[in-house]
Amino acid sequence: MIDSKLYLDRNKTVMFGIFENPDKFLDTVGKIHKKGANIIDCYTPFPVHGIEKAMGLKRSLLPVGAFIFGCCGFLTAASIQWYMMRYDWPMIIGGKPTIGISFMPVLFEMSVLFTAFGLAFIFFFRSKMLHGKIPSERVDMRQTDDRLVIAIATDNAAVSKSELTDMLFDGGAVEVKERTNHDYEDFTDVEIKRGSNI
Amino acid sequence: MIHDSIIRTPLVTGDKTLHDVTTEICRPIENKPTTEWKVGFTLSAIFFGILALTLTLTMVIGIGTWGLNKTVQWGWDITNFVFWVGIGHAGTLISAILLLFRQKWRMSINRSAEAMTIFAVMCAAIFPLFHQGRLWVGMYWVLPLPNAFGSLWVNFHSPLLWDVFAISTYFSVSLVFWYLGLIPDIATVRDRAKTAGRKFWYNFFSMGWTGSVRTWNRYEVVSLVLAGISTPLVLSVHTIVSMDFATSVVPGWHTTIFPPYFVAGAIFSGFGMVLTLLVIARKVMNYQDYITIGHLEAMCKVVMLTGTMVGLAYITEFFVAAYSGVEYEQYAFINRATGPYWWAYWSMMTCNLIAPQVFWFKWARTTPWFIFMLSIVVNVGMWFERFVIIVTSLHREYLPSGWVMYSPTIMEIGIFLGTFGLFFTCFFLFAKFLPVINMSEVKSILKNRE
Amino acid sequence: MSHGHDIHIHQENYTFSGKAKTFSLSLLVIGLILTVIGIFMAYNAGSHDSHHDNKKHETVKGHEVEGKNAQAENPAEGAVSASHAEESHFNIHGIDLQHNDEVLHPVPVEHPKPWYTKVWLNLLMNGYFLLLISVCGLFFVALQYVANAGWATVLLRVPQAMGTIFPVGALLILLVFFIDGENIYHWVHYEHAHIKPGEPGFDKILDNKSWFLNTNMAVGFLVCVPLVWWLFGKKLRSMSFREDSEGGLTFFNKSIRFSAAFIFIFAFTLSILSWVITMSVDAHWYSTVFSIYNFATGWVSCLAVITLIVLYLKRNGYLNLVTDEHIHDLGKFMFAFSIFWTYLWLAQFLLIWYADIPEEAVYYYQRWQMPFKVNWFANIVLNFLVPFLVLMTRNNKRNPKVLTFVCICLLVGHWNDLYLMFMPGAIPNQAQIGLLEIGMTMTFMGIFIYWVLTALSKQGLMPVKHPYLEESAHHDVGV
Repeated sequence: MIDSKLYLDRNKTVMFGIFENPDKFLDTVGKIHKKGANIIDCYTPFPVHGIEKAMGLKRSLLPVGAFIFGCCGFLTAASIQWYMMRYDWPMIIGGKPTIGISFMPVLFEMSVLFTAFGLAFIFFFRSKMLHGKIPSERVDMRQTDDRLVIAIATDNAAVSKSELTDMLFDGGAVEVKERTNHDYEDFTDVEIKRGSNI
Repeated sequence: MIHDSIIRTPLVTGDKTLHDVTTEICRPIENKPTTEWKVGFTLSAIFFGILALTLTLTMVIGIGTWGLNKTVQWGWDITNFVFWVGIGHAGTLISAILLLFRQKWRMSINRSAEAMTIFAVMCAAIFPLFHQGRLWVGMYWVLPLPNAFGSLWVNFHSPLLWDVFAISTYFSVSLVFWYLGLIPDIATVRDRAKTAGRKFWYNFFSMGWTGSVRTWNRYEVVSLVLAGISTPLVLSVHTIVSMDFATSVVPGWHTTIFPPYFVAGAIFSGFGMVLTLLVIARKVMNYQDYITIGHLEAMCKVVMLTGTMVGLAYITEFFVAAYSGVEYEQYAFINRATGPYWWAYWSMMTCNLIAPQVFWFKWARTTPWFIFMLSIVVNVGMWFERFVIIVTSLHREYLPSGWVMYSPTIMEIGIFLGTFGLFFTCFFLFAKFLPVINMSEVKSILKNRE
Repeated sequence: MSHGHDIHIHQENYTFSGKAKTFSLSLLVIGLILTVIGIFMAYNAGSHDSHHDNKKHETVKGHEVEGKNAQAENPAEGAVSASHAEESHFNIHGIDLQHNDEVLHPVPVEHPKPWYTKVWLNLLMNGYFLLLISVCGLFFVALQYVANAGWATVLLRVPQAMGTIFPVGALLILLVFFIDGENIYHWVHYEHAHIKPGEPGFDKILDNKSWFLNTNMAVGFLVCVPLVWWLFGKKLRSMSFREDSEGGLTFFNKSIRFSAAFIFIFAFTLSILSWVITMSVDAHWYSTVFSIYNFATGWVSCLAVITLIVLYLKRNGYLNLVTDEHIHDLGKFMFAFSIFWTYLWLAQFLLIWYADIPEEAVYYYQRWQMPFKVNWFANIVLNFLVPFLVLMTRNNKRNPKVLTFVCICLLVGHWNDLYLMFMPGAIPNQAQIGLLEIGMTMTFMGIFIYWVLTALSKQGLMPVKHPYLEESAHHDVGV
């Protein structure tokens, strides 16, 4: 049910459930996902173990990218060494062949270097992270401290808003709110109380 | 849900809640520096000043101020280089290898250990950089850049060039790894920030982190892959350092056990330094609940293990020298133990092989002041190990005309002391401006989940 | 919890079924038949050859390496040998270059080997492989206790059962040492010759080594070391089984202490055994990393065997608590330690290749000749490239078929590694992988499977009262 394009969008109405207990939170996320509701994302101060299964997230493909970068590093090192030591100016040192097992260390180091930097780069790119970016998906100032947030799109017909509210409160949410405009420090939140009419 | 066995000792004591962790770990960043911090920082800055002075003199007067005009040559400086690189290994070991082995006790010490790695590698880099004298000229020659003499390139068959690649890769990958680990915690500090300056800078470095589970999901994969590649990387670095020696035909240097033995020694010395810092830091910063006696005990066990591995290597080397029947090898080892530098050899043996064996006793592993003393012993021992390997093998070379006794110059001693200044200055700044303990990871293992 | 699965901890008892029994026994029988045929073939080829050999060896030549000398006698290799003729002079194996006067003395070439040495050597090699795999199983168990590791608790009984068979390997090694040690180990031969300094055939290097390489010392180590290991293994096993019935933490805590002591002793004693059994085959050669390299060989093979047995048990409906997660971790271990093995291999090879000191480099020089060159490359492919490339992805580590394939590659690869350690030094011109080698290995496999599965069937498959069992059952590798 998770569509990766469903990042918080300023025109969408989103319901937030804010939790303080990780176990209850995880439980609720699993239940809401099973129910067929549209969970856009969750925000947690620490990596909650098992939440990717509860939300139905797929395993990231970043390692494939890392492998490709590693291969690039390997090839770069191989061509540099081949070009400098064999093609451009063959150097015979200690009577050894110009290409030998002594190329191993640099091949290895360059592969690792490319893998690490490539991986970091595609991670930042994929997660839309940039130095100085304004954290627009900040629902609660304590979501990086001790609170766990679930964000659900409410335009899904399968689960009604009141059902969602009940599920959130029953699951142990300390606060539930609805937001319509998602600009940083400029949003409209409607606080929802248990049993309030929506 | 945490399924840890009930007999496991809790990794965080004091029944902390998530919020407690945040407030306690952010405290040094958000409050004014304490007196201890000010005193320590000033002291470190003074030593840092010594480093600046000696390095300036080296460049102004010339490399002749180093006692290189002997057959032992860079003996002192390479000793210090290897010493610092070795110390730099514990951070990556803790954050990468222990991550792969799922040793959860690493979580409250990995941040500071990784920081230590980066600072130690910086200290190490000073020696090869400045041994070139005017390093802005020298740097040109160590990198594979085209130059005025036609197509004369750097020599890729040389372990020294491998070292250039290994150390720079290690430094930059460690930095990336460390920074990635810091991002969620920087975001926490950002969200608690009261002042404009703090808001701006922590926002700048947090890269818009919100704790999205999608990002966490990728983040964990990235951490795992980085740990996976950092593990062989950390092994390769000290391996290549060992190959600087072992590819030669110098007796006492050319021995095939050098790569794993250097790596074990590096981990040993690195843990020695981690213990030295953390036994103090946990006390001064009041982090006994995060860096518990259990953590110290685990680290002591690693020290004992790696110390024994290093000892096994010493014994293997000595045995094989005797066994090989090669007179030069035999002489090199006999000379180490009974020659003019016997005191260095026996300091090394005592500090590295014998001293850590006290950690077989539980009392020794759980008494902070004793651990602190022993960690100093380990640091000293590992410094002597490099001194023994380098100086004793060079001061008695094949030609008796090259036989000398070796001592460093004032300038070299100054640079060595100065590197401690650099190291601790960086560490104090780190402790003031960044969370010393990885909050997000510690939060994930809290038993109190309410 | 929503994602938790129900865990039912109960004892499982493995019955060594007819099918597995038939399999192991038929391996044993077919292996034995092949071995016998192999022995006859070796006899036919060898009795002719060794006659030929003896004649050649009667004239003791100076300035020769055993490998070189062996080459010259093999007509098929004549061309290779001739083309390298001018190189043979620098491989002055066994001569101390410092004493120029001694260069004039004739250096003994390796003594001639009768045809049956090949048979005994195969027994020795397989016995050593058995010893390594088995004792590494014991090490695996000890490591789990010392490292406070929980994940492997559900499969702990498998390495525990594997750890019972190494006395067989040790006894076989001892047997071979007594029967044919003289032909396999050049230093034993030399010791028996009692050559005084100055007499023809005096070998300064071997004389120098006699404080360590002598029969008494070797037999002493070969008896004492496995005995000590056996005592530790027995103690650890009995504590584990008593825990099943009595429960409590006493046995667990005690096991940690015994394991720590065992690992400490194991590190030193395995080094010694590797020097005595393996390194001394090339009596003049030495390498400091050799013992650790031997350990890595045994450890990776042991992990492969554990995986195979766990997969077998799982397929037959046992080890219900073992999930994909545990299999995944075993795969990770094999992946990581294959790289570790390669690292040590490289440490030894690169440094010797780079420094190119004759007395060391001759080791690899020999292994670069046919037929060993094939094994030399197979070593890298099977022990590094296959596990590295195949086990890199997560799915492959969780796929029993792929894992089985990798395990078999690793076992063949490490067998091949040991082959390269023993054969070129001991029987350079007779070594060849044929019916004898295959048959002998199959026999050993049969014995191993029969023994280990019998050991497994005698006790429960689950350490039911182990304090980490539940944690292990919930094990999840995470991302």
